[in-house]
Amino acid sequence: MQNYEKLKRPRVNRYICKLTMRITLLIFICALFSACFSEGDCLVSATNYMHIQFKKRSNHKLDTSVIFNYIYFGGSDSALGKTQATELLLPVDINNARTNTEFIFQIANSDNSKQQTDTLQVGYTRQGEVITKDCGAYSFYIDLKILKTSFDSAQVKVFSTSLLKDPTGSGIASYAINYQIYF
Amino acid sequence: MPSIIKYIFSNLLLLVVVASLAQDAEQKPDEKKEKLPPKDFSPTGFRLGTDLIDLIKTETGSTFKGWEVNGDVDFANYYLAVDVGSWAKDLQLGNGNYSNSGNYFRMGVDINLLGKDPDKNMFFFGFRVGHSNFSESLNYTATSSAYPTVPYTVYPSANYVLSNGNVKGGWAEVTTGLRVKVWKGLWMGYTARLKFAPSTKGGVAISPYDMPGYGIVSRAPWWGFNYQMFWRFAWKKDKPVVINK
Repeated sequence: MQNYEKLKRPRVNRYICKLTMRITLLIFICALFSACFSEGDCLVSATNYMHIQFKKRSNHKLDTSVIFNYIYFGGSDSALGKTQATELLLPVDINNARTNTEFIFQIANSDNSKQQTDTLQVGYTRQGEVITKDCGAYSFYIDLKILKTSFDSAQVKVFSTSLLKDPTGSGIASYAINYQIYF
Repeated sequence: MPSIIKYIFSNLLLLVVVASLAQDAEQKPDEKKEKLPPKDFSPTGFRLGTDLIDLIKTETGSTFKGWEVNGDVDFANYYLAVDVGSWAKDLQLGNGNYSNSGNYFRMGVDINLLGKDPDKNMFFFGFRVGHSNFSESLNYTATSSAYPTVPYTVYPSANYVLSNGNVKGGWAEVTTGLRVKVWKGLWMGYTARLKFAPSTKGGVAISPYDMPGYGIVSRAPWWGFNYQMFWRFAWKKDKPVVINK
């Protein structure tokens, strides 16, 4: 019985154990609360803009500047007026009843003597995502696909099928490239 | 910050393991080289308890409602542990609100490092796997930012009301904690959890955000903490540890 009591109360061991347990508890509580209060930065990579680049048909590495008399955004009353660009950001319709957007381009030559109208209709899946409680929720557009187009298949190359932007970047280069169109 | 916490946690684990090994090493010279009796793995009882933090949060807050029941059975210094719970959250977001509701369970094994404690007090490390079944809904207002080359918004803002009906998910966790006998069959203790490898299936309209039993799905690892009260139902008295001189 005496031996049993001896084992039951080995003072040094108990002291080390108690100390270790207290330190463990303290560190876990500190770590827990620091994790609870860390909401993270409000970095949002969601966008409804599609990034299209225009390249030369003869050399896909070279940019080509395309003149648009207008670009009509389907599902909206808005259109983009005369523009000359080597790349564009085109907004897809955020209306929750729509899962596709059609763009109508009127492309012209340099003296506007020759005009051509092309269409591009893209479909997508919209997924809501809560970024953080304070940042709120955003729509992510994924599974982007061409539903209908007047461009021939060799003229369009698909890159990313999600609409994304680098939240730390700026300008058109911070948007993921979705399509390249060759002229 | 998470990397610092991870660093502290790993060093702490190492410290605890080294300390426990050192204790064993200290004892060895005093012990006589006699054959120890084989370990008795037959269970001596089971503990049933609940998480007090969940109950307090449910009573005092308006964003969380939940409960958790915990149980374990001893097999020498190994414990089979099972937790069953439920939680529902209602969160106000910057541009809408989010709510979820679901049930979960965890199952795993704890190893008591105080194996020779006659009262079966525990300082343990363990491992669990968790499974959750939940639904969630989200409503928010989205705006299309102004078209970069023209000074007006192309599409008007839109309101979304989205829901995921039946989402299933799982995760794993390592645990550590204490269980101390307070009075007769009454036990109290805490369990700290480091949860990792979350996965979900079935979230289509919403990317699953908060999984009952786990927390925010996009955060891994994620922490959890329970302060628990148990009652132990014993059917067998534990044998005292005897040392022959």
